[in-house]
This record gives sequence, C-alpha cells and structure tokens, in this order.
Amino acid sequence: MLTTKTLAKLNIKKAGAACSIQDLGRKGFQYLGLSQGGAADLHAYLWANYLIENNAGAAAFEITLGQFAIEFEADTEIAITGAEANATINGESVALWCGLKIKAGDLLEIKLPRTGLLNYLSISGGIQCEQHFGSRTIVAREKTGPNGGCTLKLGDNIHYLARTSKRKSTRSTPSHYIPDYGQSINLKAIPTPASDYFSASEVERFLASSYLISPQSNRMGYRLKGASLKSMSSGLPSEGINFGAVQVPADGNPIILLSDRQTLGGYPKIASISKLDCYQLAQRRPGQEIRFEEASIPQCQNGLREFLNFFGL
Amino acid sequence: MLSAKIPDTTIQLIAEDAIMLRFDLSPENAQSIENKKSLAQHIGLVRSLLLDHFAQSFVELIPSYSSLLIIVDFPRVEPEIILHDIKSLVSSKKEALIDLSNANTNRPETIEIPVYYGEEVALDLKALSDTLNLAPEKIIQLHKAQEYTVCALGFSPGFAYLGFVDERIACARKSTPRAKVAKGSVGIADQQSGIYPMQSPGGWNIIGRTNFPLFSPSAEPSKLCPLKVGDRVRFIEIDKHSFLDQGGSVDD
Repeated sequence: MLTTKTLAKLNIKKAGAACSIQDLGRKGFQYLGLSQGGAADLHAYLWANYLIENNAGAAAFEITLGQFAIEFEADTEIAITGAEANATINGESVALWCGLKIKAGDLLEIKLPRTGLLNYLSISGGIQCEQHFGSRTIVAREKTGPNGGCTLKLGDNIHYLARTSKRKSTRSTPSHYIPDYGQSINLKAIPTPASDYFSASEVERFLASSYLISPQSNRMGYRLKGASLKSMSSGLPSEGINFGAVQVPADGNPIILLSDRQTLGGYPKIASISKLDCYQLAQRRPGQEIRFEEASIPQCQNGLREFLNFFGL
Repeated sequence: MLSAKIPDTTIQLIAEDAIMLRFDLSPENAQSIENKKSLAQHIGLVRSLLLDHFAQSFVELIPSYSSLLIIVDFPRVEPEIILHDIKSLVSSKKEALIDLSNANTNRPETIEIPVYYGEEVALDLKALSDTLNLAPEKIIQLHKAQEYTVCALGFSPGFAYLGFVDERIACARKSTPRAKVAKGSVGIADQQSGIYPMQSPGGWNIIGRTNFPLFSPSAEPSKLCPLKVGDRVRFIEIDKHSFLDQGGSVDD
C-alpha cells in the first residue's frame, strides 16, 4: 500500500542507452515461462543498497552506458556503484561506491563510463512502484514488470520515499572490493557432468580457448566469438536453463545465459559459469576478452555463500 | 500407459544451486507418442511431489519434456544434502508415481480450449493444405480430434507446448517467421501444437484463434496460467459468432 507513505517524485531528464528498475528478480515463476530478471551485476547492485542501509532487495535503477540525469523533488540518500564513470550533483563531482546526501531540487548526472557497462543507483527505501510476480524487475524483452514492462525514458516520473535520514555517517566500499571492469576476465566454469553432448577433448578445447564478447550481448546472454565448438548432438528436448549456463547452438559459438534468459532451451550445454563471475561478466563490453578456468561446484559455492552471507541473503 | 519399464532418472548437481533431474525412457520406449505424453504427466506429478515435500527449500522447479530443473534456496539450503533427500524420495515413490501416471483416478481433468478455425484467422491453413495434400477441413478435424498433453511451458510466459499432433498434420515451422502473430493464435510446429498467449513474433503455422486466456499477468499467482506441464488439453471448434461473443477478435 503506497497511501500510508509520503512519496516524492524524481524526474528523468536523460535516460541514457537503457535504464530499467531492477532488484533480486522473480522467484518461483520460471515454470510458467516468466524470466527471472533482476540486476545483471548483483555485486554492484547489492553494494548500492548496502551503502545506504537499504534492504538488500530494494529496487534500484540499472543504468546502461551512463548518459543519465535525474532531478529529485525531496531530500534523500543515494549511492552509485558499478561502471567507472564521472557523476555530478548540481555540476559538482561526487564519488561512486559511497553514500551521498541529496537535497530537494538536486540534479544528479552520470556520464558515459570509461570502463564497465552498468551503474546502479540506489535510493533510500528503494524505488516505490508496484510489484509484478513479487518483484520490481522490468524485463523489457518480455514486456513484463512495472512501467508497462518498458525501459524508462525522458520525462518519466519515478516515486521514492520522502523522508529524512537520521544517519550521521556514510558508508563507502573498501577499494579492494571495487572491481576493475577494464581487466580481461577468467570465468570459473563447471563442466556439464557426464556429457553425452560434448567429447572430453571438446570440453578441454573450450576451457583452453580465449573468446571475445560479441556485440550481440545483452541482459539475455553474452555471445562469444572464438574457437567454434562441436556438439555430438544437434539438439535435445528443451530443458530448464540455470543462470550462467553455457549453451552451444548450431553455429558453435557459445552463449552464456544471464538474467533475462528464456526459461527453456534446446541447445546442448557445455558448462555453467560461477554466478559471481557472471556478475562481473555483465560489466564487460563487446570486444573484451574472456577466458575460462575449470572449477568445482564446492569452490564456486564457497565464494557465493560468503558473498550472499555478507549481504544478509 | 507408461511402460512397466520405469524411466531411468538421473539426478545431478550442475551448478552452485541447480539440480537437474533427467528422465530417460529406454530406447525401445522413447519413440512412442503415448510414452512421451505419459512422461510429461509423470514429470508433472514428480514436480508436485517434490513441491509438497520440500516446499521452502526450492526457489524454482522447471519441468519440460523429459527433465526437471530445480533451483535450491542457497545458501540457506545445502544442495548436496537436499540432492540426497530428493534421490531417496523419488526412488521410494517410483512405483507409486508410475501407478498414478497410469491410473484414471487422480487424473487431472482435460482442459477444453475453444477455437475458431475460420479462414480470416487460420492464416496458414491453405498453405498447409497444399503442403500436406489434405483438405483444410481434414486438417481441422485431425487437430481437434487429438487429446494433447502439456509437455513444457516456456518461450514466453504461458506459452504451452502441446504434444503431439496427428502425424498427418505435423509440419515444420515457417522458414520465415511472422513479425507479428496475433494473441490467441493456435498453431502447429513439427509434432506439436501451441497457442501464443500474447502478440509476438513467431514461426508456427497458424490454423485458428482462441480467446482462452493463457496468461493473465495481473491475476494472483495460482491463476496466472491455467495450463501446467502434465495437464491434458482438447481443442473444441466454435463458430465465429461464439468466438466474437467470448471476446475474440479477428483483427491482425
């Protein structure tokens, strides 16, 4: 119910390449064909909420390639994480990866990033809008979610809570937790068990090869160009696709499936990428290099468990 | 009837929080359409069983054709531990599940979907008639005579893959998909029939249209999609008048 809270508006002056509302995504609806959605880089998203003591799953803006500007109607607190970009409040430079105070009438701008792809902008109390399927994620590919399932545009008004923060101190992310998105990335890959679809030597080739991110990469999945992989089968009955699954279609170019992936797929899967590494992958741009290293499930679970525990999930 | 040969079930951890169950019919049983339909129903029952038993431990249970993907609520639940519990449960209930799949008691009702097959909405019927060398009326008759089983839900929210059409009307997807297929369009691709829940691009061969709601985004969770994997479906022919009365539209 929104009526018991006092809401303030923020006005979108520039929406950049793509801007959507994201949170932890939907849970329990994939069996109906609804995409999971949710923040593509969960690491930067969770930090954005943590820095201003929001609930971990509070809805935030996911901004692609900056070029974004909004005006706030009322005081609040925000944080900007993710891609390395210049940000200003009323023209004055502000830092990323820390809590920032906003006064009524302030204009926030985020410029085109130098490295990385996505910025997360959290607002105290989270973005206030209706939930669809238990989440505020916008899955533009499906046209589902708040705002008619559409990305945000110039002139859109988004609501947040008008309330003053009682906190005196602000948090900031220790620098060793801030990733360098310009670095090429090694993705931990869990090979598909007992595969009838790929020979052992083909899996080895996959793990040893270097790939480039193709321009056909987005929230649905990242397509890679490099050593073409041969499956021993041309297709299989469609089955559920987990986040991070690596499919190999007929053309042999692997695709790593991410937040907005379809729920079912009939292409053979050669591996699954560690979820933590997928969040970093989502910050890479077309043309950047990818390599793989074989990893075990317990190894990936240890990292993921520590990460989720830190954010209280 | 699922053959007395129980489908082999492999249950494996494939990622940090993902468990894949695969149900394989033996090669001699795998080709039968009846067995494939029974398998879908079996998977629907396994899904219900696991949901009842493990409820809060799972985030997703995604059934499809011959598999069930489970996403575990990690790290609250440890996948290795629950994997062991799932294996025990499935193996202890195997016989009971086969019996349930075969028995007429506990059978889900057959869901009837009214379809208008008129020329103005059956956009590919004429072309199919030429390709298959069957009169359009015969194609319609074969389509509605069949009882289908929902084998999978995916591609888009509420899109149900219905197995299997009479082999005389099986046909490949259109080589050039349409940029726009009207909401409610009923089509055939390979051996399956399907209905587009919303307007979308699509390559299925369209032979009719329904106003039956396959996906109601603003409904409460249990009423979002009326079709679930394992359900049985029949198409009932209705005339234009009834179709329009029910709220159907013949517009593009």
